[in-house]
Amino acid sequence: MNLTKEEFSLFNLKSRLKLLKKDGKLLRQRYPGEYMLVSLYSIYGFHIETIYDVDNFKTLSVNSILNPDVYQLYPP
Amino acid sequence: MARYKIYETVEKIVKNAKQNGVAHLTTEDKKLNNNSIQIKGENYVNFGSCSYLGLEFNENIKNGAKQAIDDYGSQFSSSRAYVSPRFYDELETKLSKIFNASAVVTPTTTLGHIAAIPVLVGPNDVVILDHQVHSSVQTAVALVKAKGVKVEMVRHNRMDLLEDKIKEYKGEYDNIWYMADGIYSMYGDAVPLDEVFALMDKYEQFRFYVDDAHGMSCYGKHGRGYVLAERDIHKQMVMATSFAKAFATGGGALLFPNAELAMSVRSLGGPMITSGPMQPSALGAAIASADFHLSEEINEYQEELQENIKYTHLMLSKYKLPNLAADFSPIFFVGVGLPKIAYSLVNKLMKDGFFLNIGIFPAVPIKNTGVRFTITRLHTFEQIESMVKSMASHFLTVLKEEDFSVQQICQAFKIEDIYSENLEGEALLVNENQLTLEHADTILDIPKSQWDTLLGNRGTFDWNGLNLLENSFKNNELDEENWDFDYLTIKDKNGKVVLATFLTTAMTKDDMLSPEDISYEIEQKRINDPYFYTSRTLQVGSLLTEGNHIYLDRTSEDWKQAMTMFLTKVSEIQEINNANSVMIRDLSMVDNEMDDFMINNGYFKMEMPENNKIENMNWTDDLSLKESLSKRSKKHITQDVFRHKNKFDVNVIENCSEKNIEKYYELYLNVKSNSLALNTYKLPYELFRKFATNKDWEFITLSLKSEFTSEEDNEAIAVCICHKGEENYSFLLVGVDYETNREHNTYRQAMYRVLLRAKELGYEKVELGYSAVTEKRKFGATQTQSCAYMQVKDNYNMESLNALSISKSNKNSKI
Repeated sequence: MNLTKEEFSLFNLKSRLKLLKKDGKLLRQRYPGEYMLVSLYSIYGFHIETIYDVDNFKTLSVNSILNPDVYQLYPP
Repeated sequence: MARYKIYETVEKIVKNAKQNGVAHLTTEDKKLNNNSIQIKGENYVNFGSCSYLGLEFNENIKNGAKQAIDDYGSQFSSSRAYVSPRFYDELETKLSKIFNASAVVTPTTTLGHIAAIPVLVGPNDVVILDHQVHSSVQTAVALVKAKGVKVEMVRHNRMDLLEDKIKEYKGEYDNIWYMADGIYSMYGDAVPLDEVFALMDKYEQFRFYVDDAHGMSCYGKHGRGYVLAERDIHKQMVMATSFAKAFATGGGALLFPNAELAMSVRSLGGPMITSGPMQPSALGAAIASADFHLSEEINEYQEELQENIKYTHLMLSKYKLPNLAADFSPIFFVGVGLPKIAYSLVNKLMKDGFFLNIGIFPAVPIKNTGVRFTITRLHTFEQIESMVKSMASHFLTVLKEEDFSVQQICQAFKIEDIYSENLEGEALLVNENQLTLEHADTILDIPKSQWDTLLGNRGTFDWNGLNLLENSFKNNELDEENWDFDYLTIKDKNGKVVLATFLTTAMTKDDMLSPEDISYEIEQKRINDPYFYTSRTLQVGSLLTEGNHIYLDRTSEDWKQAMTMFLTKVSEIQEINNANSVMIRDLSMVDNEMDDFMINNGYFKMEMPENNKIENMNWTDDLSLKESLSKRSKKHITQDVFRHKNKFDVNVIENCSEKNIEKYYELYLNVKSNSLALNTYKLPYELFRKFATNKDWEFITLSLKSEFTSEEDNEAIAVCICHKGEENYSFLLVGVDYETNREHNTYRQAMYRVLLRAKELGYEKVELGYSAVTEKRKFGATQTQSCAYMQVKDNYNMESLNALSISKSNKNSKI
């Protein structure tokens, strides 16, 4: 069952990751820095960007995309 | 009068639940793993666990139990009054730190209540129970009630009403105790803490006793529970909690605002002296669990649980299920209305691999049955959505199968119906048997021959009798003297009647069946508030008719379908007439098939008062009447009846003057005001006028002969109002002048004269109605026991009356 963007944002980071794992689809990934992996997911009809700290094996944020320009940052 | 057969109803419910495979089950797993359980060879995701944080698999807690067994063995068998194993001190010290209060560990929460409440509540205290407080608190309160402490109930979470009671009692009682749950175990809602704490600040005599079993561990710093999550213990409160839920060890604790009070309960509380202690294993586990609670790790666990709770609410909302649970607690309740729907739905969920519970009578009103489930930290989002999806997919199917609608569920729970329009394929009331239901609101619309053929010989409710009742109970000034009448006839596809009956809706006193002393107390309140503890009741038959009012062709293969159709219509009439309760009455006391049917359809069974009837009219004179009686009754009739026989002039009056009617009504009111055993409203004067002009009714009057009275006029001192049925003579009402009753045994003489009159008219049976069983037995009456099936929308008044106690004792209060 789909959640809205607002409902998704009600959850904490750990739960957002669980939701991504359950219902999300990984679209693309990019490496903006040496220790940073940014992934783009599609879930419930909107997009989510996760930022992963490769050095510390830790997800730093899981947020819906507000600015559509961000898509251009991903390699085709 | 009638007594509730609660145990019988509960027993049937349990039996039905067992038969439906949803109760008294046993796990088969050799080793439990996470939240899966195996029952009868099938694996289920467990949605029935109260171990909300999933701590039962915590290695430290398990090791704590093992180490304690290694150290102390399987038990330390000594009363704590003598010696406690060392674990207790350690645990109580840690608990005092968790709660910032003085702690006393108890073997269970229930035993904690039983230890604390009789010590805390003094003889001149009053206890006010929240309507939904856990039964274990009520069990303990029964101990102080038995000693004469006044116990009352207040509507669930109504702090305004609670404050009214505090104001009312603060000058009269030493302490006013309010007893409530932190989080309620069925709907997961909570006590309004801000208001309760404000009341404690405002009223020095106000005391708060709270059971926070379901809040323990899930909320607050160190998991100190829902109640103390954001505040310290108040000097006027005592809290009980449980280790058998999220704390994951078994046992419980009492928390006090000071060590002195804790020591009082520790020293004086019955189970603290006489009950066995907790086992070392549970104590060792509890110490380890307390350590976990004192660590930072619990915060993460609590947050994970809250995330699961949040997700479950979202899913229930998106799948449009009528969720009644509060949005913060791990207890969920999806309303389904009737037990049979809950059995079926839970069964289907089990087939899909999910184990859930049923929230059923007596934990909730029987018509408010639901699927109750719990969420723990161990559930995954996948499990939660799969279970909710499964429930949603079966929900409408089950409703359709059981002839029930979402709208009826919403009515039962008094919630807005936001579900029907969004549910595709809303259940329609199916009628595969092609039964037709005819509904009339006056007997005039029913053919006389049809009615009298089906129900005409059963008492005073033949066609003419009902016409009289309808005309008497309308256009009267008082609410209680105006009744609504409904006539239902259900026919099969061939036009043959399967079921026929009539119902009335009337204002009734909720204490109608209560003990007389309770009714007396309530009547004192009614002097200023005439409708105190009253409500509208829809009943088969009426307050003035007796006997089986339902024609039901049990040989018809459609009878159960007809009963279902009938009950559906009854619910509809209940809504339209705004009736709080429904009573399907005067049915056989021994009918297992009907019991199961009615209980599964949301009715509980209760015993009706015994009905008196004289069936032996084979006597011809006083001597043979006397000979027909038992030895004791022979003596009675000789001394109390025949000895006074010649004192009376007896007249049978079929048409009487207005003046006489006024006199008879006055005599009736004498009896009415003297009897609270069956506490009903007085009948309207208009009814007596109708009796006076109806050929089926007659008045038998008794007056004293001139030589036995100083009164100049020969006025009646007793009147009997009787119905002349086709087969039965019915003695419906009596009026007596109590000033002369004792000297002349007027009431007994009246009864005798009724028998003589029935004999004179050639009747072979005399109906004597309810009440005065002992008196009627003396005349040879036999008693029949019937039952009623009841459904109550709002059972507050009923339970409140049960809780009411009027005496006091002399025990000292501790705080």
